[in-house]
Amino acid sequence: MKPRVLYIEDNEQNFYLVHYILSARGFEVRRARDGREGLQATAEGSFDLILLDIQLPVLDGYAVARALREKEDLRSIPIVALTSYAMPGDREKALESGCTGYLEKPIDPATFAQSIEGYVRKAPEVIDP
Amino acid sequence: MTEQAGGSGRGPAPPQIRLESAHAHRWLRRGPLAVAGAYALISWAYIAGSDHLLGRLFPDPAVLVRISLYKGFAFVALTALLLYLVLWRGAAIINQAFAKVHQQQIELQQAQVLLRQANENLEATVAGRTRDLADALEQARRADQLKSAFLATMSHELRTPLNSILGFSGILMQGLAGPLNPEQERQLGMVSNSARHLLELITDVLDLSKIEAGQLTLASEAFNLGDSLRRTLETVRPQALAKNLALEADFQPDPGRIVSDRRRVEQILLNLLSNAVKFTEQGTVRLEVRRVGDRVHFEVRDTGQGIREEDLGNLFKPFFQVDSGLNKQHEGTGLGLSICRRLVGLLGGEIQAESTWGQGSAFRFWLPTGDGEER
Repeated sequence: MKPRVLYIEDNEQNFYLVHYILSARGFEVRRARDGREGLQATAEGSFDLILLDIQLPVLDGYAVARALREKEDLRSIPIVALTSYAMPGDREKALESGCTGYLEKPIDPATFAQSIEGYVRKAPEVIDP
Repeated sequence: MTEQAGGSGRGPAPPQIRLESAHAHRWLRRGPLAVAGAYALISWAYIAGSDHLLGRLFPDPAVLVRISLYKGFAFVALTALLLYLVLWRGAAIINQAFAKVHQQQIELQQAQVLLRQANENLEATVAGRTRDLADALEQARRADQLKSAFLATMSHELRTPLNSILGFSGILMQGLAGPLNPEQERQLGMVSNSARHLLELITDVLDLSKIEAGQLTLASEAFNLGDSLRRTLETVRPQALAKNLALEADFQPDPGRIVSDRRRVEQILLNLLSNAVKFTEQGTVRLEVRRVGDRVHFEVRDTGQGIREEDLGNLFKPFFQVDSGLNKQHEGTGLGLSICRRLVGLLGGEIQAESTWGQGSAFRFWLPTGDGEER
């Protein structure tokens, strides 16, 4: 079965880029355009990994990560913050909010898929009901 | 201010009032006694003298009685006149004194009113100034927040499109979207390089702005410096290899752990090392690190073309780029060394450069080891 990734990102091109790279590596990538839509998507479907932009409309990435960590069944899903490094302390803030990892934009297409695979593999097995 | 307000009940000019009332007082106390005394004395002299004289002048008792009666009338009249004069004068003096006191009381009240007004004005002025200062402070605080927000936004907004440019050109160059002919590959390589250069510029400009705006928060953590050195060397090794340069390192004995900002220390080192590689065409780039007391000394030395003496002074200024003669071959932001100097300063150390034109350069800096930990 294809690993399923939810990418919460408001920028069209950035989503397309990640979608393209990960699809080529056999991922199934679903998109949410803002934080609220992202939370809705996690309630509707199950995912192996959540990629999270931080500067999001409606609900920012930190809030999304915190909300996800509060849900019993979602606590073990790896969440990777994917954002343009803005200010010092952003990485710490992302990790404190509950993110598993932190990747900076711009991404390197040569190594991106690999590091995402690493996060999926490292995650404890998610039991799909 | 409060002291003045408290003193306003007393007011100025009491000395004069006291002088006037004292004068009246003195007159009231001594005047009557003196007058009464003088009066008794004069009366006694007059009565005794006139009786004696009249007894001699008028031997006839009937005449003497009548004359004595007239004398008595005259004496009473004279006494009444004298009493009148004394009382008139005394009243005038008392009146005058009271009028003066009254006048001065009015002046005192006026002065108090003026003083109170002045105090109120002063309080209003101070309150106004305080308000102005608070406003200015609030404004400065807001400007500072705006500056932070601006930097964060710029960083985000500039990198987001670059993510697309670098990402898609990377995908295309990897042939993920189909094969490319050599010319397409070459041109895409240029797109990619330019984008990467732009990214460096943005990162450097933002770093510098953050430093200048005082927005750069430095970490203070204990970390293994040896690991940092090895990591940084591995990052520049491919560049050195590509130019066939020897990349040497000497940090024995191992410098151990220091307390500083690991990411920034590595940033400084990476900057100096990649600069050295960039400006060296053949020979060696060498990193030497020594721990001496509570300082760690770093030296990055190369056998490159060196820096002209007149350029050495400008080396750490923003946007200064050495005219290498090879020129645009060395693409940089011109901000690297300027950031290095500021970072070294923020971390509590010093940096300096030394060079002989044509023979190479050496960049030396030291950093405190932090919390006095000796190895």
